[in-house]
Formats: sequence, structure tokens, C-alpha cells
Amino acid sequence: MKLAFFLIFIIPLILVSIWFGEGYILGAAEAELPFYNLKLFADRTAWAWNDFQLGYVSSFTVASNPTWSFLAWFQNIGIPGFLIQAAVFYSLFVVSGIGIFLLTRELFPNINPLANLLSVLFYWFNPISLANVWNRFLYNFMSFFALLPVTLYLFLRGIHKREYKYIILVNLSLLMFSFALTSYVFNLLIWSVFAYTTFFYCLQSEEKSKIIFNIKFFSLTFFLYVLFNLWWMLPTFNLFSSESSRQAVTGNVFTSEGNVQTLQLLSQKLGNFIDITRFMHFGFYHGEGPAWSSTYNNWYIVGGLFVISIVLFWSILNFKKERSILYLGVLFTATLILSKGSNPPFGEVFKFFFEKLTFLQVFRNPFEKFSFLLQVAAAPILGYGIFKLGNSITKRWFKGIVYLASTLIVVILLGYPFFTGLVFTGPSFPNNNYSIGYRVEVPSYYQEADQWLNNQGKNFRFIGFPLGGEGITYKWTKGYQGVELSNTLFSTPNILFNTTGPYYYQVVDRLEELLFKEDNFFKIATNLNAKYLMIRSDINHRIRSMRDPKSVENRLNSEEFEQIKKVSQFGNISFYQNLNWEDRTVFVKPYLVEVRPSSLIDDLLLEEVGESSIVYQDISNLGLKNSVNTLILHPATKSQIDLNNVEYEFNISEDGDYDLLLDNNYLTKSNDFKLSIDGNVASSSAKLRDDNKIFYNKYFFKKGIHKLVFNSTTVNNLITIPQTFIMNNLNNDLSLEINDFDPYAKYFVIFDVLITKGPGFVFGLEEGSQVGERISLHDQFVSSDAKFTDFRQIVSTFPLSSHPEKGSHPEKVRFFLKVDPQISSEVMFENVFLGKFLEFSPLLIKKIKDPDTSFQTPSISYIKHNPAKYSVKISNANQSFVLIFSDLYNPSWEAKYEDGKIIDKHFMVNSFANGWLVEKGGNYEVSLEFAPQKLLELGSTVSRISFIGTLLYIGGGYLLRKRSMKNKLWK
Amino acid sequence: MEIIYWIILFLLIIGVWILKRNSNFILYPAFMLFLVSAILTVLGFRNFAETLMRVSLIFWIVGIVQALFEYRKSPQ
Repeated sequence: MKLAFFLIFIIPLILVSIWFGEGYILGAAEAELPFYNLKLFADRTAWAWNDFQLGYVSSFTVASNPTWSFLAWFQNIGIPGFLIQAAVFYSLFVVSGIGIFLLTRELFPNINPLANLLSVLFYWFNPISLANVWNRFLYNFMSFFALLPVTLYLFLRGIHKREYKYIILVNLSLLMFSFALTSYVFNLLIWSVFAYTTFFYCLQSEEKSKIIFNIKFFSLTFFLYVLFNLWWMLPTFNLFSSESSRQAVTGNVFTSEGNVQTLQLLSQKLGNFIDITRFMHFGFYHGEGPAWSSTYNNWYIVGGLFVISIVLFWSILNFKKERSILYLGVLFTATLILSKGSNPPFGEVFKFFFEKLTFLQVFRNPFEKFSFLLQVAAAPILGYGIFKLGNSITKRWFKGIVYLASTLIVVILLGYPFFTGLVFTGPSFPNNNYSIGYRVEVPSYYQEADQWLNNQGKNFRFIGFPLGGEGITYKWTKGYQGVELSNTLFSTPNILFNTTGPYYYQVVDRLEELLFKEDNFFKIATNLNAKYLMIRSDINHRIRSMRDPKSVENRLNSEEFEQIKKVSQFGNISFYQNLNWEDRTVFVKPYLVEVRPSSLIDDLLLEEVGESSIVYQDISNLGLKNSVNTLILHPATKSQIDLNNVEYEFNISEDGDYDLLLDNNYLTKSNDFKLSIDGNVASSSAKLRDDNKIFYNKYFFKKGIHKLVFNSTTVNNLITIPQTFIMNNLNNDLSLEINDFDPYAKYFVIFDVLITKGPGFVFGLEEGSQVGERISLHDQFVSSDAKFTDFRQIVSTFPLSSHPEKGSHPEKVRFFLKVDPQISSEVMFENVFLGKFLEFSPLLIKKIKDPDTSFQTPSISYIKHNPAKYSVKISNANQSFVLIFSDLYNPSWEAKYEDGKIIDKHFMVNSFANGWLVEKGGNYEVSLEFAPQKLLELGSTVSRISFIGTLLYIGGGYLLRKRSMKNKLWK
Repeated sequence: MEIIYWIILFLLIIGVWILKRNSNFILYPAFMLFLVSAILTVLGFRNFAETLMRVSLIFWIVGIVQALFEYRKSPQ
């Protein structure tokens, strides 16, 4: 027994020595690099609102705050991040080991320590733990991995011993591992297991008192769980209590239809019994994981893993009359069925509940989630099965072989990636370099840059270029790939990546294109309260399909950008100051420009949106008509009728004269077009405006739907190519320059082709023309088949997704056609045409009234108490005005007067920010508060009181018992 | 094709009901089917092995539920 415990403590020590021996922190995937700067993570998760990016709801992550705060304390006293991370990993292994050891012992009291230890080793090293927990590298997954056996042991112990004190212990364990509760799917899993345990023990009990105890035990555990966890539950559930607040957080990213599709796809891939019964994540071990993971498909390893499953099924079959085996056997079988999701057999049942009960849609990857239960059910059965198998063998040496073989299978076969550190490697750069893996070393210049930014003030954000999606790859010596690190590397709010959040995505998706196309980009930056623009040259932009940092640098250094000047350089990152910047955290403007049907960040560049105006999109019918000076209409729909004609439909809500504006960026190269409005040819008096828009003419429109059709008489072929030509294995490669390539535009290619010999050909876009530097950006294979007897027309569009050419050097992008030089081929081409889709971006603008020149802007000052609360002092307000708070619009933000009255006219301005129409004159104070923060504080108070009350109850009980013992002794 | 699994389940339940045999009657074939499909998987016949294992698991589900009721009825 002592040896087993010693090994539970010593094996994790060996593991963390291997993983952290070189002194690097580990980081990858969606977990970022919290151990680089733990204080930042503690700060980020302390409030219901986070001011990073453009601001976002952080209620989900509040449950991780105690963990980060606790760990940050160690970093503050000078302990390096890698040591803290090593200690955390060590603790998680030890806790999970002790948990599964005690759980096994609780269920099978007569098990010998060696078999008991085997269940621990299996829990640590099984293929699910390897792929879904440790290689996946999500801290809440790791925490749940450690928590589950401990909390289940305590719950079972309470049921077995019939002692209520275990209710407190269960809840203390949940509180200690509150990090795991950041994912509400884990809350569901824990309570499902507790509910099953209660049900099982009720079902097996004859005595009514036992049944009543079990139900009371479960109910009281749940009650205390709610009290202890109210601090994160209240703000989180509040967010999903109304449709508007839910939309503001998730938008339409996760739809029921999308979730069902995901469920079916993942079930088909991961839900096969032949994989699940071996604890295998099919994708990970078949190409999605690191290169070494495919070794697990060798027949002898497949066989070895089946030996484990056979022992499990054999144990359930033979010892099902024992309550504990039956308890685990039912749990194991149920989890097997749930892990396969909508796959047959009976997948319809899973899908039915998945569709009907939307809260279950967090299980859209069923194997990933339910497999946690699979491991915790299997590990004790395996230990007990080996124990029983050993007992059934009379010969001592043979018994030894059984134990040795099972230990070797678990430790060597399954433990090998852990002991070699391969568990922390991945399939892509730089994780596929085994000497790097997940090891990360952040260059010191990031610390210098962060310090410099801190010295510039606390009232701005900065924008980093090139801008990509959520993933990033750094080319550091010990590099990093995973979720973007802006939260980790800088303590100043910033926009360094785009993500699918509502409002945020629409704004950030436009920033890079506007930087390259609009000389007055500084206006956008100022409205986003961005004082600095940053260029990072240490990223692998090519892997991430991002724009080359050098082209961003050239653009920022160009003469057109008078308002943006380079001010600082730290290693591979440089900062440019927006000279036009003024603090726009909280500010006021008098005039509204209404935009329909929805506003774009581009609208801020229009002349009509001057210094005194803000853009407003009427999404809530607040009746702000009187404050609107100008109306801007975007087309409601756009349709490409054919290659030469494009139609825009406008929904005009009121009669009047409208200015038609067109986008000069698209028109400079193709001015040759005609416009018809509702079928009538429209006259033009085009002239270029200062804001780079073309004023086409003024037209009168009546209320209703109107169609504008642009006819371009000449859509140019952007490549120079013979009308007819043949490609074969001698003439097998054609690479052609594209004239005026715009990486943000959409293209089409159209040609006639006849394959007379060979398998087919490939066409697409590529970057570079020299041997060795050519990189395919898009390619499409056209295969020859039996039906290829005559010329066939091929039509294709680029890009297939939004803007994948951004990663390229636009001047190097070329069109290519290739046939395989190794195979005898003959392909005839005719009329190859590469064109750009027409885009005019028309706008209709109507002036409603002249600005009120008598308006005096009230002066304001503000205090930021925390990211979720501001106080704004307003002086000399003489009429209504719009108060703007430049964090992302969210209906849960509230503005209140001193008397507590809420300002009800709350709406989105400037395509992203919060705006309130303030209809009060004089001097007064307005408070801005994110409402869920109050719930967080209320929940924290209740949880603290409950926790302290529980501690007092334990302490009081202990003292009373001690006193009664003393009294007994005296007597 | 998936209806076949429901038919197997239905027949098994009817069989257990009519024949009144204990859970071993159904769990042993389940285990044997599992062994066969494990061997087939090792040999590389993934698709056939998967179908067989699904059938095995249907047997297993019925058997384990039956075992649950047997335990409840047995003297403890």
C-alpha cells in the first residue's frame, strides 16, 4: 500500500521533470500561455466584462479566477512560470491518481495494492487521457480529469457510510477544482454521474430509510453546490436568460442546425465501437495527431489495446453479481453508447434528444465529452479484473506474469508518449519538431513592449497587423502555435485577431483591407480608440494565411499616411502612433447618422459622418428620428446576374432626393459601365470626393424597393493567354501573371476543355513563379472520366472562402494550369478567361436636416473603476446628446443617473460601440455598468457566506466532539 | 439499414421474456461476438468488425439491464 502511494507521488515527479526539465513553459491549442503572465489571467477573469479586443463577456471564465489568482500569487513572489506549471501538472496527476486509487479501493475493498495501482496507471496513460486530455492541452479538461475520480469517490463514500459530512467534502472538491466548471458540459457530466449513482443505490436498496438518505444526500449536495458556486452561476445563466443577451454573446455562431451537422459528422468519425472500446480517438490516431500517433494502428498495439477491453468485458461478465462491478459496468456500457453519439445502433434516440433539448447541444462532440466517464468507469474495473484474474491462478510465477504483462502493456504501450514527452507534440509547425513540441519561449522584447505600452497610459487600445483569425504561429526559437496570445503578451487592450463574435467580427474583418485601401484609416483607428498600430514580424504569416508583415510595414511607412508615424521598435515588433488619436473611451457627440439596413465600420470614413456625428443603426426602434441628420442606405441585396451585370436592391423607407455614391477603389480600373435604375438608364455627373467615393448623381426615389443594375461592357481578361492551346506531358506547366490582382476581391475563371488523354489536370492560383518558391493558394483537379468526349465548360470562383489570398504577396499571385508530366496526357483548352467579379459598393445618402450649430458639446470626464464599471461626470449639458462608450455593444450594459434611473435609449453606434441618448441638461453623473457584474458580486457574497458558514459548521462540530470526548474522559 | 438493430433489440427482448433465461444467456454471446470483432479489427476488417461489434453491444445492453434487475431481485 505504501509503495503504491509512493509511486503515485513519484511517477508524476518523473514526468514533470521530463516535461519541464529544460525550463520552458508549455503552451498550445486553445489554452494560450497563461503561465507566462498569470496575473493577467487573474485580472481578465475577475470581472463579468473584459476590456480586451473591443470588450467581451467573460462570465464563462469567472469560475477559473480563484485558480489563476492563487497561482499568480506564486508568480508575484518570484517563482518562474514553468515551475508553477510543473507544480500544477504534478498536482493534477497526483490528485487524479489518489482519486482513482481511493475510488477503486472504496468499490473493491479487498483489492491488492498492485492491482489498485494498475487502475491508477491506466487512468493516467490510457489513449483517451493521452489524446483528449493532455495532448488536447485544455486546462479545464485537465482539471476535470483530476476532479472526477476524487469527487466521485467522496460522493460514493458518503452514500456508503451514510454520513452527511461528505456533502461538504464533495463540494469542497468541486470548489477547489472550480476551473473545471468553466465548461458547463462538465457540470452536466458530474451531476449526471451523481444522479446515476443515487438512482443505482436507490434501485438496489430494499430499506426505505436508505432510499430516503440517498435522495436527501443527492439533494443536499446539489443545494450546497448551488450556494458554493453562485458567484459564477448567476452571471453566466443571466447571459442566457434572454434572447437579446444571448445573441450579443454568441450571435448565430452556434445554430441548432449547425450543431446537428457537427454531431453527425463527429459521430461518424469518432463514434465507431471498434475505436471507442479501445479508448481510441479515431481522428487523433489516424492523421490528425502527431506523426508518432499512427504507430498505435500497428496490429500488435491494436491487439494489445483489445486485451484491455477484453479484460474489462470479461470482468463485468463474470463478476456482475457484485454490486460495485454492476455499478461500474452499467456506467461503462451507458458511456460507450453515449460516446458514439448519433452513430448506429440507436443513434436516432441521441439525435432526437439532442435536437429537442438545446442545452444538450454542448455534446456535439460526444466522444470528447463522455469519454471522461469512460475512463473513470474502466480504470477500477480493469484493476479489479486483473486482481481477480491473478487470484484465479494458483501458480505464483504465472500470477506474476499476468501482473507484469498488464503493467507493461499500460506503462510501456500506453505510457511511452508520456515518458518521452511526445504527448506534448503536435502535427503542425512548430509542435511537429519534437525538440520543441509545446515548449515555448517568449522573446524578451515582448516584456519591453508591454512595459512601454503601460507607460503610455491606460485609456487606449492598439491594433496589431497583420490581422488574422483566432490561430497564430510564432517563429520564436521555441515557437508557439495555437490561439492568439494577445491576452497573454500585453496588458494593454488590443485588437490582434478576429473571431466570430457578433459585431466584433464585422468590424475587425474590414480593418486590414481599409488600412491598405483608405488613406484616412486613422479615422477608423481613432473611433476604435486605437492610439497605436503594431506590426509583428515574428509570426509565420504564410501558415496562417495572413498578409506579409513587410507589406503592412511598407503601407504604414508610405507618404499617404501623414497621421500615422513610427514611434518605437522592440525586437520584431514595431509601434506606429495614430497622431489623430484622442481618448475615445467615453465621449459625446451631438448628431446621429442613421444607416440601414446595417452599418459598416467603413461608414465612418464618409464625409457625411463628420467630426460631430456618429453612425447609428436602428435595431431597436427607440424613436431617435429627431436626432438624425443624415440617412445612409446600403443595398439590401446584391446579385450577380451574369459576368457583365450586377444588381443591387435598395429598400427606400421615405421619399426624397438621394446621392448615389460608388466605391472608387473598385472603379479606378473599370470605369466603363452603365447604370439603370428600375429599368431606366440613369444619367451621371460623376466626380471623385475627398473621401475616395465617387458621387455618381442625385436621384429621386419613392418609398419602396428599387433596383440598380450596373452593366459593365468590358470585363477584362486578367491573364494574357492564346485562345486555343494544348497541354501534354511535355508542355505540362503554365503559370501566368494576373494583371492588377487585388487580394480582397473575388474572381472567376471560365474555360472550355477537352481531355483526350491522361487522368486530367489541375488549375488554380499560386504565389511565385520561380522553381522552389511557388506555393499553391487554390487548386482544383479536373479528372477525366468516361463522359469527357467533347469540350466541357469549367466555371470556378476564387477565393472559395473569404480572403485567403491575403497571405500572399499580391504582386506575385499567378494563375496556373498543370498536367502530370509523368503520365501521358493531352488536354485541349479554349477561351480561358480570368475575371474579377463586379463590385460597385453603391450607397444612397439623404440629407435630412442641417446640423444645429447652436449645440454646445457638454464636457465630460470619467473614472474607470474596473472593466465592468465606469463613472462619467457630465458638465454644462444644454440639450440632448449621445453618450458613447467605446466597448463592444452589449444590451447588458446599463447607464444610470445618480438617482438610479436607467437611461433607456441604448443602441449600437459606430458599428460596434454602446450609445445612449441622454436627454437631461445641467451637471450630473452617469454610471456605466455591465449588469451581470452585479450578479457576480451578489453571487460571490452568497458563496462566501455559505463557505464560511460551512467552515464554521465543521469547526464547531469538531470542537463539540472534542469537548464531549473530554467530558467522557473526565467522567 | 439501421432498422435491423431495432429488430435485433426487439427479438432479444422477446427472447429473454419468453425463454426466461438469466443474463449470462445473452452476455456470453455478446462477449464472444466482441472477441470475434476484436480479432477482425486486428486483421484489418474494420467495417465488418464494426457491424459485428454493434450487434455485440446490443446483446450487451440487454444483458446488462437484465443483470441489473437480477441483482435487485437476488437476496443481498
